Amino acid sequence: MADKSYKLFLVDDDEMVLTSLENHLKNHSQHRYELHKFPTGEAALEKMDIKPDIVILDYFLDSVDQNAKPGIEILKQMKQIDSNLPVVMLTKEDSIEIATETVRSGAYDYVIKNDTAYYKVQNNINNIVKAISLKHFVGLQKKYTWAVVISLVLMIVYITFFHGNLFPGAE
Amino acid sequence: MSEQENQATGGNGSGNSDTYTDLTYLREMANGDEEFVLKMVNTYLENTPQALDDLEVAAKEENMDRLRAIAHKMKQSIEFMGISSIKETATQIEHYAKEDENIDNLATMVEQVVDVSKKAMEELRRDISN
Repeated sequence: MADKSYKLFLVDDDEMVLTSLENHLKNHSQHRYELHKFPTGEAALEKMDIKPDIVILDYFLDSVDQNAKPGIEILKQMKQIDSNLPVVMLTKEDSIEIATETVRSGAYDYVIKNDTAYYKVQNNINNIVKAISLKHFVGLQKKYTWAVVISLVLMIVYITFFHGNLFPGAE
Repeated sequence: MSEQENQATGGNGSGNSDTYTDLTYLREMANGDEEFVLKMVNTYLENTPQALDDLEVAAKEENMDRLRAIAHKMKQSIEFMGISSIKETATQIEHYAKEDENIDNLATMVEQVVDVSKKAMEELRRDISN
């Protein structure tokens, strides 16, 4: 799992935020990422077939393209495509209403863009990666548990049919 | 130093009244990576002229949605470049545009942001060419 590369979508209409967040993740992360940067939510939605592991999504996305949908709408559409997709909302708006709205709409967390924002995003990513790793491990465990059970059943069937008795000493 | 005083002197609020920009925050973020600093400054220089044009047009047309959106985005780049003398003005433009308040003063505030941003760009161009 240490070598797994996580697919990360960064969605922000500010090129400087995309560049600086990418730089922060490159310098501070313990994981490998395959980064995909988008200036609008629509552009990110078009690439959902890439199946991102994590999305970092800005709340306001209409500074360049005034018809661009707000982050909250993009969040809802992403959750319709993949209800388990962890989406961290990143915004300059320090508003309890927006925070509540985004979390109710399925956001993993709501991070306000300030001096510590990128560290908070990093923490969120680390927690999400841990959860993904754990899910993967439990999945593997389940798979191998079934493999062991099936092997035992086959062994019992083999011994019973070809040797006549599973417990010869008991006769 | 108040914002008005900064406006008058062109200061960045950091105590150095001769400059409009202060890259301390950006350099802290860069952690010694000057290539990153240069990339950020160049991105600012490339994108800001269009943003300023858009801001002026939105103010002229009294398009409050556009004004809110552009001012909101500008706040972030102003922070990156440490142009503290217009940080509060950009915040106020966004707030007034959103709440449809103080419309009579918006044109003057936009003018201030445009004027200081242009001077900040000149300064950054000089800095990176040295």
